[in-house]
Amino acid sequence: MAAEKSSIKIITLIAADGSVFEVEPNIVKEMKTVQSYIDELDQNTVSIPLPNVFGNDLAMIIEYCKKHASEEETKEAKEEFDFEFVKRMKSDDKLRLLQAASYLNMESFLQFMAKAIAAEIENQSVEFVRDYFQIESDFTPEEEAELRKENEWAFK
Amino acid sequence: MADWSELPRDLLQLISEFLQSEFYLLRFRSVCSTWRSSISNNLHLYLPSQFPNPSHSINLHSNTNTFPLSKRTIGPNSRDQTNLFHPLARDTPFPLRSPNVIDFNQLNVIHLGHEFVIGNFISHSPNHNSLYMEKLVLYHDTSHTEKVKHPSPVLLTIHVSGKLAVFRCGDEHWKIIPEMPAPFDDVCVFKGRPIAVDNIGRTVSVGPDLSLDLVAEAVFGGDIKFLVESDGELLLVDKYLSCFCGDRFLEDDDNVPHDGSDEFYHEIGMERAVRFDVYRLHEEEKKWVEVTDLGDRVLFLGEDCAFSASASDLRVGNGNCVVFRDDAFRNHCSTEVGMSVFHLDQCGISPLSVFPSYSKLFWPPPEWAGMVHN
Repeated sequence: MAAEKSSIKIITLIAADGSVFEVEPNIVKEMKTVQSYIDELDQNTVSIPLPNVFGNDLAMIIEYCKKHASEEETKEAKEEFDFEFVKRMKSDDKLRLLQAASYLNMESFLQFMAKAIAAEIENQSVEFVRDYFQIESDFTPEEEAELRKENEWAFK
Repeated sequence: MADWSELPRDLLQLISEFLQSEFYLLRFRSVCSTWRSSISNNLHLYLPSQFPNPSHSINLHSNTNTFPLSKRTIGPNSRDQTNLFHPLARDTPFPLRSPNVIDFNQLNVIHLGHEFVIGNFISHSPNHNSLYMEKLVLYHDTSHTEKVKHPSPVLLTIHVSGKLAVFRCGDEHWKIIPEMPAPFDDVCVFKGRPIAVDNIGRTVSVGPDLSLDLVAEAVFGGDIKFLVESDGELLLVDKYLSCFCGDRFLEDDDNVPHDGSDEFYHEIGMERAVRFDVYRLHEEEKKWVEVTDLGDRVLFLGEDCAFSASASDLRVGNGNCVVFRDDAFRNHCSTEVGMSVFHLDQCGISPLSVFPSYSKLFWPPPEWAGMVHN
């Protein structure tokens, strides 16, 4: 970490619902959106509002960052954590966390969430995915016809 | 509650990048208009299309085949013909009523694995192209930063000499990697990394500069080594062969049921599988650790592909076994034979036909594959 930043001891993150999280600078390293704030402000204590992230989600993201920033944890322990972390999320949580990761500009957490969502939908029918994302089919008749052609395979 | 149908295009694209199979992408594109337009309709993996061949001057095309739910191989070849193949043998097409149209919008397909060949599956015969008849895998070289966004595809196979051979997109020739303490048995891609195992079980990964880095120390024992991914772990399957003459094995093997006729055992002096040992990779210790119980998993060993599935996904009851192409039954033309199953708990081999739930995975075709559309 750069020497001039070492003066910052604590970062305060304020979620959309007003809940406050105090974290050490190394925890927010991956949050590029937060990091750019810190770089601009150059103060000893920094308080950053995050109007697009809810407290519950931010708590989960911080938990993830803490685990992954830890140098004491083994690779296996981190993998085990990732597995359990995804397991306790509901579908809605995954989608919200994906958007939060995108807003906070967290590259590896964004990849992690996208992968988790892909794993959840890959073995599922189109109907399941529509339910999961609460999406109505809005295809034009032309698109429907194209779709049918793509989905029907003729065997010889 | 947010409106998820408005999920930004770049996030949709990111999710789709983690969908490994063409079937999943096809389904992704069938959800709604936005999703459809967020990923291209070029569902095939980007592959190098031309392969110089040292022994022939013809240009060959690469193809990909995939295994759908019923463990059959589906995929259009470069002539836009779609054929169904035996999943464990690339040269055995499944006879289907013709014309036969399968609507993947109506079926829930699970991708189990895929294999590549150079050339067309249908015209693939051992007489042609004998240098590259071994298992072929594709991986992406992301070693350079500029390659992370546009990874370049690389093919890895085993040369007739037993050495590894790679072909990088844009290259003019296959490159043979000279390093070979023992001839290589199998190649695979595990977590994006190209891995190879040699005849004594020494396992290496192929670096971007074609150096070989040790992944696991040798395990001595069996005769042929296979690599297969199962539930996020890399497994090594060690196949033991034994000679048998006439209708008797040289080794006493009471576990092989005889059905009265000796038709399965008619070939003289042939080697056949008698046992399998399974190991899992301990990455940090660079060791293969023996596995005595695979739990719910079923391993499939084909001639040029290996994949695994859970018994509950396959709806076959119990897992903990290895389904493999058995050379002893090779000359049987019927599609239901030619395979055997090794149960880890009993340590014995039986023809697949002894277990109807398993043999039904392969033959007869389920209703959906036999349906005739006008």
